[in-house]
Amino acid sequence: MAAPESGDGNNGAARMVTLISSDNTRFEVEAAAASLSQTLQLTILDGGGGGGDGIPLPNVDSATLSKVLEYCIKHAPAAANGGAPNATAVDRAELERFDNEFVNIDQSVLYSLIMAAHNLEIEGLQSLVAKKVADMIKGKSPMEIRRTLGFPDPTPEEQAEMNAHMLEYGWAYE
Amino acid sequence: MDLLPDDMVASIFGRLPPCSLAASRCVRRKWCAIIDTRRLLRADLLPLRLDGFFFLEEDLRGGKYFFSRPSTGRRISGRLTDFLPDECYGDTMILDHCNGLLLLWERVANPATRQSVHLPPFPDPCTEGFYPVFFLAYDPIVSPQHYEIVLIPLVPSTRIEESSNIKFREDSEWPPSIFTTHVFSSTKWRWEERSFVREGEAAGTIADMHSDWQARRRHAVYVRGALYVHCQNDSVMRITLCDDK
Repeated sequence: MAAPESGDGNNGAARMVTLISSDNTRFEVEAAAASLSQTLQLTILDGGGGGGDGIPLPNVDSATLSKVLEYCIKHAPAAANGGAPNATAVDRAELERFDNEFVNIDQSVLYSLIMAAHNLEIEGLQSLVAKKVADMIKGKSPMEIRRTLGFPDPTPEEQAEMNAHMLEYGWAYE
Repeated sequence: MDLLPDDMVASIFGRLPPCSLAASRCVRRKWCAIIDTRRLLRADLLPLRLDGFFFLEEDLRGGKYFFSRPSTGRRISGRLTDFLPDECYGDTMILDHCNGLLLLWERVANPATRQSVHLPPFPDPCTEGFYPVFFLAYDPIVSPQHYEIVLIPLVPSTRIEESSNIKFREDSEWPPSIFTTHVFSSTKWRWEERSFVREGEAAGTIADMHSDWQARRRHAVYVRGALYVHCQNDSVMRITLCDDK
């Protein structure tokens, strides 16, 4: 995904855009970083978001948006290199370290991120958060999954249903 | 997690190995629906592990010994009397087994779930004087709840009298071109007479089968919907239960 202006433009300064969260906080960020979002990329290509306008994001609160932008700013240089085929191993290792650290967060924040990555169509972030939740589920029994994800204990009716399902493929994960 | 759109949940599930999908299916009704409607769980990729096995003595005492790893031994019970009801005490001879399920006399038992169920009475072979052997067909990957039992009649060791009132003579082909026997289906919960069309040549004649009649030497293997039965005369009969061949 090539960013429209990757920061080394003629005037020497990176183009900036303003994003406005649902609680009206304004974030100024390089266009290249914001363009990791497929949704924003079109608006930015059309010249939107500059100056005093700003792009309103009614579905994303400021806490989540700041987290999302942290991801975008970190990943923008690699994305500008076209998925970083010529990135060094050190760069890739650094991004991986950043990603692991990035999703080491509370579940409520994680779910907000999943929603935001989905709404803003940020492919890399979508994969990262989906993988994180998948890792929380892997290798666990149904009850362990419920506890890990903070689901309430099953009602007797739900328990009966779980037991019935477990009879089907229970042998596969016990 | 409940607030996430189905597409996002599905993309999370898309990153899970089959065994974790199988576990996730049990977590909530909604998850089960997402996994099932999108056919995310490839049951055929679920790992079948050998968690334990029975060693059966071939003599009349029919002794059996169960072996398992210590980690699975706690879960799987090799001592059938631990979970079989009292009424079948003493009649725990294993007639056949298939993918973890055991066939006892008029009973199916699962040592992994410690469950057993009493079956309707076993029928006699369709041909009088023949000796019945019962084989279990069970594939947890195809259908974890469903199993079938097939009665394979053994040709008796004694010559068939010309005068006796049965449809076979010494020079009759065996198995016959239309092979009729009893099959039990756990979904219908009854024994039914079913006829299978022979596809190849007969293994021999009735006369060829007499010498090899011992029931205890009979084994069958159930793979991909077909039951391969080691028959008399050391032939192998393949019975495809889904299309009656």
